[in-house]
Amino acid sequence: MNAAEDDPTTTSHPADYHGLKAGPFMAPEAVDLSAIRRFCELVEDDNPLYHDEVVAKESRWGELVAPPGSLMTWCIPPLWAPFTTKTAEPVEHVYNSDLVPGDRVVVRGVRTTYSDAIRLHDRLVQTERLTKVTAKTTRLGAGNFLDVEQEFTRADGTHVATQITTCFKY
Amino acid sequence: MSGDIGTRARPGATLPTLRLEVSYLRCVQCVAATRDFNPLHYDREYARSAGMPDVFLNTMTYQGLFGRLVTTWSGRDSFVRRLAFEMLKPTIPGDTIEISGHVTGALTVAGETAATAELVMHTERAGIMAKGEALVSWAGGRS
Repeated sequence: MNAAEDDPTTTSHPADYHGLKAGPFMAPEAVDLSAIRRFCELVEDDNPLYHDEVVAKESRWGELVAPPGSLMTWCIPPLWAPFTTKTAEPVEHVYNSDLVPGDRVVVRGVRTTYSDAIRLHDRLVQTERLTKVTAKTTRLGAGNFLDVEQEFTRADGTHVATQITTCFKY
Repeated sequence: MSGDIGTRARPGATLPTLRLEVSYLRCVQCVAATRDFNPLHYDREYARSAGMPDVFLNTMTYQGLFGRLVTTWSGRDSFVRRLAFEMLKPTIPGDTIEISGHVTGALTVAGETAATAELVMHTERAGIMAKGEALVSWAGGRS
């Protein structure tokens, strides 16, 4: 698909999309050991802060934590859940919005600033806002680079991280 | 990790290199572990139709790997305050990832000794796959 040619507004007025928001949406579950273990298994990370309570208690965090790189995994919604109506809201990420043409999204990079560790039993809440749109043609075709600012807090409102994700939608 | 922070955070100091084999299984594993069901990461036909050479590791796996590299170096009383990277090429089955880094600066952040580091992911097949940076600080000078 050649989004830039199909929709002239993509290249003429990309600022129209600025400020598009999504969320807040709450993680379907709290941070738990089995999910931490599966993430560590993926990247073969044997850091004891993620599984050894004794070591974690003596660390600066005083308790088990999750790898910083696992931040985004916690708020990905279930594909199906019987408890959806009780605990989760439907999630429509801003990069999936029909306002920005294209049906494929690849991430180019992320910049994450942490205020605190991701702690065992945290239940994270994510909000996001589209902050920049740049029309460009790459080897994948014509599309738009999107900067999405994502805020991650705990359910009690304390801040955990801010992340700028840059992706290409085409 | 042993060694004092002053030595570890000295500009030019190197982070211990990390290596990881990428297989089709690892790509499927990244879907399962992160719940990122984008077919670019598990459906080879779809990935190639989208202009990619094959399925590839997702962003959260990169975050996990760069995070592992940094925290293995920085130790248990460190705080990864910032982690950023740009993905230049997809890592696909058959690749062996090598991630390395070095300290670029020493500073103080929120009263803690801190250091910045540059990070790079490399494969023999395609050269530099991703570049990143990190900011880490240490509480109370402990390692």
